[in-house]
Amino acid sequence: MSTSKTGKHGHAKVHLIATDIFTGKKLEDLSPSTHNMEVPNVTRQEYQLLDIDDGFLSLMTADGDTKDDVKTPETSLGDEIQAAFDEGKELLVTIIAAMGEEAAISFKEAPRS
Amino acid sequence: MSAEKPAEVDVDAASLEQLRDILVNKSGDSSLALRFRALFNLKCIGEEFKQNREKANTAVEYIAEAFADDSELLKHEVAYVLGQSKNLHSAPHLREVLANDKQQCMVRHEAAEALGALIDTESLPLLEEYFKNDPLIEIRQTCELAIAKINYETSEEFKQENLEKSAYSSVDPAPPLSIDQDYKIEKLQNILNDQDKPLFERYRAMFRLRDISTDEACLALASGFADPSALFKHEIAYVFGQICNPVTVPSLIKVLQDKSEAGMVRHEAAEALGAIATDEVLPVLKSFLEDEDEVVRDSAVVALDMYEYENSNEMEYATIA
Repeated sequence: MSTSKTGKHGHAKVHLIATDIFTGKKLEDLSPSTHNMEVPNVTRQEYQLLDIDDGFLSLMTADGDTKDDVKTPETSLGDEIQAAFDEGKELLVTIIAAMGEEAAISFKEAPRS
Repeated sequence: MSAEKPAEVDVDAASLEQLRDILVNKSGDSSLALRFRALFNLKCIGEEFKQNREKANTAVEYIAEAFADDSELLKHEVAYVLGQSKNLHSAPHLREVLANDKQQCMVRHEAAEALGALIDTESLPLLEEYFKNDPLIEIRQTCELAIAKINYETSEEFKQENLEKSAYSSVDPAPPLSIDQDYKIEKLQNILNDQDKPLFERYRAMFRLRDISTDEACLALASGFADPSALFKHEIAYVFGQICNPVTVPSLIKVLQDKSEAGMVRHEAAEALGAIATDEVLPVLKSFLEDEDEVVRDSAVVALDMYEYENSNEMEYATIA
């Protein structure tokens, strides 16, 4: 984030560079420093991985329900999840959600209890 | 640099001398808008006296050269910028302008206000003199405010009060009323418009309303356009240029169109509209490019340049390109 010098009225422009959390794309915006901006509400939740089926992750929620609507990532992360799952490991997958979209961003082996 | 083509100067690359030459229009063909941008570039250097005193003071000297110009609008901005620079090296130039009755009213007003912005205690006797004796009410009122500001900033009261930090980088002629007291908008509007109260206190209500900046606060501020004082009204227009809330546009257009208003007030309304920069202001500003009053015509030029900047992807206003 960078801020311009100010002119007569003493307000600046703010130059923001951000990364799209879903696509990894770099995005820019230029806005007056005194304006309000909308900020997405991002939540992050871990789920236990039950299965991988036809490009979708089958996950278990904390309540014990299943959740089958998050896609397996099309990046190398997806391959890594698949490989670890095929090895028979118990996995926890972290899902972020913002503005009605969800995506898997990381995973780890479940702690043995 | 060729004399015919003063454009394409970058703020970081331009020398102080190049900026001065544009500001004072040495080549004779620098546009007013470009000269304003050069002025704000020089101001950015003039205020960095803590980093480089010699360079900052040179910038101040170059800015002050523009007081020899004829344009009331440009010179008033020069005085304004010197006050905003916080650089006390500006003070002798500003005192000279205040004391020079050949300078136009707006220029002298801005010089007096700038001495207050600099909290220049050495100027107090001069400000007292013009507060008591100047024939122009705009000058007397400005001196009243500058004296009150200097006294306030150097007082115990100032150290004890809780003030909201301003969203703007400007040095204002008065601080906002303290946040220790939870004023309602209506109460602030009453203080704002109470002509029996000291002007300094009314300005404090004005800046508190500015910092609240909601639609309701803006409409309360707009009620100040009914005041008889041109100085007071021009400050309302100035804060509207800061807030940039489109709810103020109709009141600003009304003031700009009213030829019975002082040039000082209409000029500030034009520049505020340029800063707000919504679609509706463009044809309005263009229609004042041929106004009878030079200060209003010139303001329309500067405001249209500001409009362009606000609507562009240009990061810096103060970069000459």
